[in-house]
Amino acid sequence: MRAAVASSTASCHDEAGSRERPRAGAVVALVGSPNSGKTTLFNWLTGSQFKTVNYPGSTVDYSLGQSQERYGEPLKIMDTPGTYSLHPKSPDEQVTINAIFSHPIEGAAGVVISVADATLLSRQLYVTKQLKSAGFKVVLALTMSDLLKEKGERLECDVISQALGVPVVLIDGRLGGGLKELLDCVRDLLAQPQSNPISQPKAWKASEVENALRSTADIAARAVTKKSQPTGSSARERTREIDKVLLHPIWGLLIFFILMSGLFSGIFWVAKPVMEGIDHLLTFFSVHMLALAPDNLAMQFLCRGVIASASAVLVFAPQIFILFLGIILLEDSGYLARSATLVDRPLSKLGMGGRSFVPLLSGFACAVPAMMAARAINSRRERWLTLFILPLMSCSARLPVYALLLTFLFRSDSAWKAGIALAVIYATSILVGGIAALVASRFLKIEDRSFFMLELPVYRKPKFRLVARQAFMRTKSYVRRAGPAIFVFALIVWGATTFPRYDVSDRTEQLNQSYAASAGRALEPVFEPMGGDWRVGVGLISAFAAREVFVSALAVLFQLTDQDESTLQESLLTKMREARNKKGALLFTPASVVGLILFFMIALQCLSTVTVAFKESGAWRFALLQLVLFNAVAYIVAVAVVQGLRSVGVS
Amino acid sequence: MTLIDLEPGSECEISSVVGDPVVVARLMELGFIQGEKVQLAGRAPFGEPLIIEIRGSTIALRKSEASCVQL
Repeated sequence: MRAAVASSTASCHDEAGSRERPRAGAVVALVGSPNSGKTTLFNWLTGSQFKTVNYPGSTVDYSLGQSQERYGEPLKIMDTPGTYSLHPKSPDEQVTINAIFSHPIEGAAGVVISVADATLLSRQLYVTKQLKSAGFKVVLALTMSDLLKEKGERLECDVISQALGVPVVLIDGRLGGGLKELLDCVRDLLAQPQSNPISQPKAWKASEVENALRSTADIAARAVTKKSQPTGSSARERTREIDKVLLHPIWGLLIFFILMSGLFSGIFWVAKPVMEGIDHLLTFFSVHMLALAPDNLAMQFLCRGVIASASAVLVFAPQIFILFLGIILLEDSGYLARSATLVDRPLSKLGMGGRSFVPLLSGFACAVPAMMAARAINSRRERWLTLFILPLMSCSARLPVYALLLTFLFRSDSAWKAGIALAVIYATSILVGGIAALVASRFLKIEDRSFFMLELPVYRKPKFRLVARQAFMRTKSYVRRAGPAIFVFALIVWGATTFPRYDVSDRTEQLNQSYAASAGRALEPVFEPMGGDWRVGVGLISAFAAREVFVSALAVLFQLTDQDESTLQESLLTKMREARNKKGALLFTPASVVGLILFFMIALQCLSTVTVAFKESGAWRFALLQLVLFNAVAYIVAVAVVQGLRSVGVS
Repeated sequence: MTLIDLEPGSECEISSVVGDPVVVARLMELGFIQGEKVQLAGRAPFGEPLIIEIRGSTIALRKSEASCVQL
């Protein structure tokens, strides 16, 4: 589709002449309502030359990039969180305002591209009006023009351009038409002097808002003219029909259940072979390299330390990619807003909201990608609560531990009992999470009004290439942001389980004499009330690298040499049944194993989660509060249950 | 009468928007201004949020916010 450039500033068409180089720091900002097609436009403009980072001093994301060379001399482009006005009501909107008025590095935006949905002009031109009155040099980019055409309507860009005093460019978000014209316009505006001072608008009075909205409605009415008969039903009509099913009390919930099961299966099962692939590949390298010089400390450091720690970082990448692929697909199709609407009411009873659902569900696979997904929650309070209870969702790393302990309790001949017990564990973890949310929302001081006003956009077919690229950028940003800290923590746990007797080649001896073992022995009185001894303690300490390490640490502590994983569990169970503590009593009893299960259910033993909790909340206090609180509660519950069971005669 | 009393499928004109200043300001920015026509398209499965049509777009609102909109 040919892009129409209507302009009140004649220079927009002036290709010839002395175009000044843009000043340093003259950033071009994209600003628009949520669902205005802003991010798609940003993706078109920059290709993959952008990075998504935290806005300085906040945990809200924004993207900075460079326009592609094929649209002329590259410009620095900034994508901002969607906002309905320049009077912010949420942390993301505040970031948009800060970013365009007073970015710490770029200063005020040189030109603002106001992005508006051509089918929703009467509402979305409101932001354009505000941007203009704040003094910015503004270009209006109209998206979704293909939907207008479908309705048989025509847009008179000149009408809008004259009424608002800004150049107008039509963008075809499907094909990427109009981009060169848009950037040419931007370059012309950049070359012009800033004639008005830029100042942040004071809160508008109700009458001012009303007047502005009436005038935008008037502009929209004049600009959109009926040209021909619509070519079939409009997107809005189609959306209404689809919503009759997707928001239906029965069908809607059923389809919601199916789609969410699909998303969950993706992160739980599809990601698994890839994660295991990464794990096996790196283990292969580490084992074979270590075989070259098993006693060499540098080699041990490289293989068991560095490679294993890198694996601890990379192992999350497939889950993050698949989760975000799913989320962005749902978002771009328009369904994500519906899914939040469907389950908002039950979650609001717990102080959260509809947008908390996807992160909480993801938490059953892994808290690390789940915490990243919680960024989509725009209420600070709801986001805080969701992040807070996320580690309580029973993640997949707990499964190997539950599997071992449940097989111990029920023996392998009654698998159905173990199955039921596992279901009880999951149900209990949801219950515990709900209670934690209720308790936390009582103490939570953040008083931001959690208003749930969610626009339900028209359904559109997502563009898979753009979706995949965004999911990839998310994954990259995880590796860059959380990666280093997770890596360092994994190294520390390796150091604690290896030193000081790194020179002993027998792994059991090495672990037995390690700092972790000393800590375990010193802390034995702590583990004793929950039915453990120092070995259980070392297992629990090692599990801070990743929960499933508990199983392999026990295997090392009990001197198992089986390489085969299928026989490993059997031999480990045999050893566990024989193991005795210092007093000669059986170490693993029904009571102590139930205690361990409860401990694993509640405790926050995953340093990767702690790291990401810090990155996502922006506060060490938050991450440390979670760490201390969940582990303390887990310990108290485990001790209470073990002692309680013993007092009623269950050993 | 407020937005929550509206029958599903019926349309009405807004007379005023009152309540918490932040909520009112946001509602107005979304197009909930005096004289504007709103339609209740339906309710989500658990009775809330309400699904409202205004100015050509569809917006989900909790009852607490919808009750600020007087008809």
